[in-house]
Amino acid sequence: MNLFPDSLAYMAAPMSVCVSITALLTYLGTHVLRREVIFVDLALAQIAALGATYAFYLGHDPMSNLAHVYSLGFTSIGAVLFSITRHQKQNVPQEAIIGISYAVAAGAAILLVDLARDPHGGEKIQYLLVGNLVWVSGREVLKITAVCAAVGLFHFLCRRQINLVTFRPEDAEAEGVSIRLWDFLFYLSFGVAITSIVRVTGVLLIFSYLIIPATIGKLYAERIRSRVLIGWALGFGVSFLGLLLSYDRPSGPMIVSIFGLSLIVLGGARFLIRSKEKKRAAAVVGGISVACLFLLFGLPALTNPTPEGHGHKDHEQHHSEPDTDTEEVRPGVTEEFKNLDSADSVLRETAIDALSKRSDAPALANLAAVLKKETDDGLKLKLALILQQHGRAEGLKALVSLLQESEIPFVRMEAIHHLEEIAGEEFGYNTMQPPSDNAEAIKKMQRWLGKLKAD
Amino acid sequence: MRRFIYSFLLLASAGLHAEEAGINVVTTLPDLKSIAEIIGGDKVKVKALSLGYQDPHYVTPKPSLMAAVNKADLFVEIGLDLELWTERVLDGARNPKVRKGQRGHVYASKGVARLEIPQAISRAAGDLHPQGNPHIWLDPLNAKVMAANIAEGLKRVAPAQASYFDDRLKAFEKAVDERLFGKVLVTLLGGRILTRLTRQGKLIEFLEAKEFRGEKLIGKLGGWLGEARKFRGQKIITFHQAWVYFANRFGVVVANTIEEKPGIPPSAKRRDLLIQQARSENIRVIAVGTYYDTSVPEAMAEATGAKLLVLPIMTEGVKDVTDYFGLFDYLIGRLVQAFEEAKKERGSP
Repeated sequence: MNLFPDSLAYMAAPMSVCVSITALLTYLGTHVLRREVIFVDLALAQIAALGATYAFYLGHDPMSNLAHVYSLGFTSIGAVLFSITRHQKQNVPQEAIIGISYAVAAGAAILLVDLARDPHGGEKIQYLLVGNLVWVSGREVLKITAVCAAVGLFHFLCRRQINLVTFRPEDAEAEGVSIRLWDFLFYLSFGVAITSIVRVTGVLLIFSYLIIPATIGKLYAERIRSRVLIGWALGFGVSFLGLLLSYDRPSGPMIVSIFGLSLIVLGGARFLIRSKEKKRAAAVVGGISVACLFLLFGLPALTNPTPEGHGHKDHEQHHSEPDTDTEEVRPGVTEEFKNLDSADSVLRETAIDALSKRSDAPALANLAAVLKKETDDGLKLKLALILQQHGRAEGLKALVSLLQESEIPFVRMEAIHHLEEIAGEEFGYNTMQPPSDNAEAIKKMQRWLGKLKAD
Repeated sequence: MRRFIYSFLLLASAGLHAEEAGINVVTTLPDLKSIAEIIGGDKVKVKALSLGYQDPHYVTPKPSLMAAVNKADLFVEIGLDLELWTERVLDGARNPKVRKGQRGHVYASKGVARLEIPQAISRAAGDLHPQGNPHIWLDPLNAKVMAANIAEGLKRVAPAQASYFDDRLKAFEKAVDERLFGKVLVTLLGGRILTRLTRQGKLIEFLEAKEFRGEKLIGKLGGWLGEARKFRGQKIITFHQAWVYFANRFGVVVANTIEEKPGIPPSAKRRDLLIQQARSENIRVIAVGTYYDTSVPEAMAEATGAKLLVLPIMTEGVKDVTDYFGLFDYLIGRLVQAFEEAKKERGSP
């Protein structure tokens, strides 16, 4: 398997997206972690999708700019909701509000799609949340970079107020910073970024980029700046590796999995480093690793005696089942001609063609029997000519009967052409007229046929 | 509570039953509905469970669907594992008459020559149809077989009307032939011979070789196949493997599908391969079913300069397609137009 493609050009656009979103989301992630609103991105993404769905319900394309405006409108309502529920002194945790928003937005979107009944693809909506990093277009890269830069700039300029409401909300009011206002602006800017990014990356990737680098930063550093720097280094590295390894695989799931793996490794390492009893810590990490390895590789090896059973199975099923159709075969005719009696004229003709290669008496007798029952005038003509060539009387008789009965001008034309060639005389048959208007010519033919028999 | 709701449903359906005379036919696809209406005439009342722009593989089994099947005399589905949801609808409907194997149940695909029957059954290929590709209605010749199956079903549930259905089936077959080959050719050669030659893939060759009263027969080919000669042999890229029967019948060549494994986003390798193929083979048209997301095909079209056609694969898939015949008028018209435009664009620098 060629893991690495010859050209890395395919990675340029997706990697630019990864760089932009790593830069912004790692930073936002440190805030989200501190605020303990881990799933707020999922909720906001779903609310944005609900906005696009509403636009769709009103008859607009869910991918249009107008739909994007609806998305942003819905997102700002979500931002208001999340900013006013933060410091309410009540016994409902904010995580519950976020979860409820997610569920209701998802349910309402499905309902709206069902109500819309627009023939142009209600299923489009669900793709709003899936995204496809690899197929990102140049225009989308620019858009995402611009949005990330704008939101990043806003957060940089207002870092004092935003840091204050996130990390020390108790001091905010004293310093003249409105918690409500800056919470709202935080969620709004966050929502704007998420709404644009999710169309390209999907919710799975957004969540990973938001939470995992920030989490690892938190494991290894205290200061926000160091956490963000560690998160960036990890995010860039994982994105690059993920895209590199996913040339032949779905890239989003690959990146998420590498993120997860790096968290496990780095988390384990931190546990070892920080632990006071190194031996015990090593035993725990080692034990868990061995258990995992056993579950992944040891157990399958034990339960399946042939490790390559997978491939074998596929191979065995290559042998298609023999055709167990046991139709009665005509006497004197081998199996391959059993389709002579088929109701399907295509199969019947194949059998006729095969049988007409033989000129023995049983073969010809069978062809004559098929001719008697034949309903396709084209095949009748064919059978008549074969039999005639082998000197069977049924052939000429069938040609004449086609001229007497066939409703198909082309068949009558072919038949009269052959008959006149055989007879060496013209009967005055008009192909374009139905047989009933050709009584004269038919009489002439029958006289000729009678004479032939007498000879 | 459940029992109450159910008895209410039954009562409601009984009430409706009394009002409507005729045979209640419920079909899965709108195409089956259109054909059943043509065969059943004024003796039937037909309802389709899925909408023409929905993915026929996935339909949410809503209670309204079960209520519809509950009062059905005849249930028609394609089969071949296309409608993965009918089992649940049939279970929920509690109508023993239309269960699988009963007189009121029809597999419209019975006896249709299937394409893409897999050599090996392996889940690696994704959403796999072990009995072959199920999108059979996109070949009008298959519709004649499907119509015959529906007529059989109607005769089973209403034997008194047998000759009525038989007559209408014959008329339908003739209508398909005339629309497919053109009236002139059907008069000269008859539907039976033309159908056989077409299924053997010999029609064009035959018509080019043979003459009738000094004129090449190929000149007489009209209808959809006559129109389709304008794009015969041209290549397209599609999204899902829904077009095999259409391509096989009308001679457009499906060079590749964007989707490699259904439900899994195409990888970067696939993208590069498709773009390269589209450029090297000069593929000018990309066709996507109405129910798919167009973002990936749009990106493809942008990268290669090909035209993106969003096409219905079923009757009622777009507003202009109101019956089964209309589907082919629309599809062939749009393809001819797209290839003509592509040709013009290539012609001008």
